[in-house]
Amino acid sequence: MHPHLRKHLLVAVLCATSVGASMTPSKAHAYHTYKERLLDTTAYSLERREFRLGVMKLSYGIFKYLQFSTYTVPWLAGLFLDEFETVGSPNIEFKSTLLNRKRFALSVSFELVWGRVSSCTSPNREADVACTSPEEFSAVDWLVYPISVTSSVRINSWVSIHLGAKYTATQAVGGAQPVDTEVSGSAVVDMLQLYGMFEWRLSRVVALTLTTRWLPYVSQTVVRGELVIDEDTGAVIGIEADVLDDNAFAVIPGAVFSWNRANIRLGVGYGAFFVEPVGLVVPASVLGYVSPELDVFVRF
Amino acid sequence: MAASCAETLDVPPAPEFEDVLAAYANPTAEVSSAIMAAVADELLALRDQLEESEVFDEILDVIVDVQVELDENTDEKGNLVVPGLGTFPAPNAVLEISHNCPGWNPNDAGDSAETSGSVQLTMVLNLGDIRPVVWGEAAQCQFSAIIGERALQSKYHGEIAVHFGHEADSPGSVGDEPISTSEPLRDLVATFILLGTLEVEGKQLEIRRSFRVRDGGVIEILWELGSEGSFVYVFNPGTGSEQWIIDANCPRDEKNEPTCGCKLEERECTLISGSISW
Repeated sequence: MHPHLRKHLLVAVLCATSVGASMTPSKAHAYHTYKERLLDTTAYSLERREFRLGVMKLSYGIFKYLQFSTYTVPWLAGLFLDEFETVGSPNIEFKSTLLNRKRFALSVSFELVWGRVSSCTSPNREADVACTSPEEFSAVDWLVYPISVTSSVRINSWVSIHLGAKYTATQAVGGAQPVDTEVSGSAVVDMLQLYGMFEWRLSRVVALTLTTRWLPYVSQTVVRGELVIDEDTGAVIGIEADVLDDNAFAVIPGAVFSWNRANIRLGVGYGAFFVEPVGLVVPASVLGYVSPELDVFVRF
Repeated sequence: MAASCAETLDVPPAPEFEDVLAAYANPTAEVSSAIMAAVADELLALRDQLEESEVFDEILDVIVDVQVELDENTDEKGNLVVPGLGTFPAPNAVLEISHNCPGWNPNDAGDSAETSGSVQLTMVLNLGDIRPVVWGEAAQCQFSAIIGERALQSKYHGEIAVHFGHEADSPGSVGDEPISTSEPLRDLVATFILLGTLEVEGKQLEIRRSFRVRDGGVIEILWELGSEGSFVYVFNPGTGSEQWIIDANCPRDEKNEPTCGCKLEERECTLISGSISW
């Protein structure tokens, strides 16, 4: 991607965030109040015509109890990583609070993430010889669609408990045409994540949270490919791949600070890194068992 | 809404080789004039058909080509690297191999599976190594065997099962462990079971037998006699004088070599107990 175009896109994203922060506020305020609830890992969603503009996520309340969101990081991946398509990884999420009573709320959400990574598979790549023809590239398209059900229980004015489950289905399809071999194929992996969050409001600004996430089920992953040996011989290969371990978990103490419009959510915990935007999990060993949470956003 | 249903790796059951391998290691029949009189002609016909068609070479070529491809895609750490799909450390995998047979005219580029037949084989990887049994079937597979200066038109139609194993310490026995992708399969003992029709120059032969190809080209045919047990006939293709019998009374020696000669054309075997003819 052209460097100037990257800069322009970055500026556009930053402008959108700052414009949102400077717009005339609606009736909604972001302080922790009875009406204003945490949105992440809870059953609550934005009010109608309410915005959330953040570093990690952009959301809009289409109707009462129905919000539309998109995660920013997958889009921005296209700006920083050459292997990604220029548009990054387009994604949308719909979340609906189906039930919102005084002490209990229930929501469902559905997300769709698409992406493509391409890389040079030329035998000369290790000699830093750039790929020059399309045949020397391999590309993998993936489609991720997490679906979540979350419940929230208000114990009292200060304490709430949120419990949920997210089922993430993933499909990846790849193709490559190295010099004398043709390979293409697909992979499927499904996983179930259970999560819970304990929320303790210390004041209208500060809320402490303790989030736990657990991956009790990861399907066996089967990657399917076609292998061309020569003009008369080929093979369909199905490969069992262990992408993730069952029982990945994370325990993350954190806090959410909420002012008139600005909000900061941060936390650092122990365990695997659950990548919210795509519903996937980075094994604990990759990040040294550090599981972070961070978002800065305005809500108006 | 799109839906996804994760698959599990479906590993089809391979044909059983346990009894066949045991029969090669410990032939239980006591070869006699009566037995040889009953089976010699059929045995001779099978030997000639195998020798002329070299059907085993045609099958081995397909398997070895796939093995070489796997080996080229396996890095020094034992990872199977599939460009575009990823790197798989010591994977379990199933390969469904399809091969269009070469046909009877190697210059005819238009040959396809419809005209020249095909071979479908299943190969299973176990933690990156090849499981010892590769199996499948051939559908009217046409190929030419070059014998001297003659190209013999051959065809096989039927089931195929091949077991690859190392020579074991016990004479006649072979190992049953998975084989590394880097190990030359032709150096191993390849035990075949063919259930089908083998045709050479229009002459058809129903074959429901096991035979074994050893490194060096020696071929062993396992001949089962039902309640009378089984014996092994050994020959070296192209050298009609090198023929042997292995039975309950003529075991292999400590070097795994047969000890009793047997010339089918001359209708005579030289056993430990003496010569028999029929």
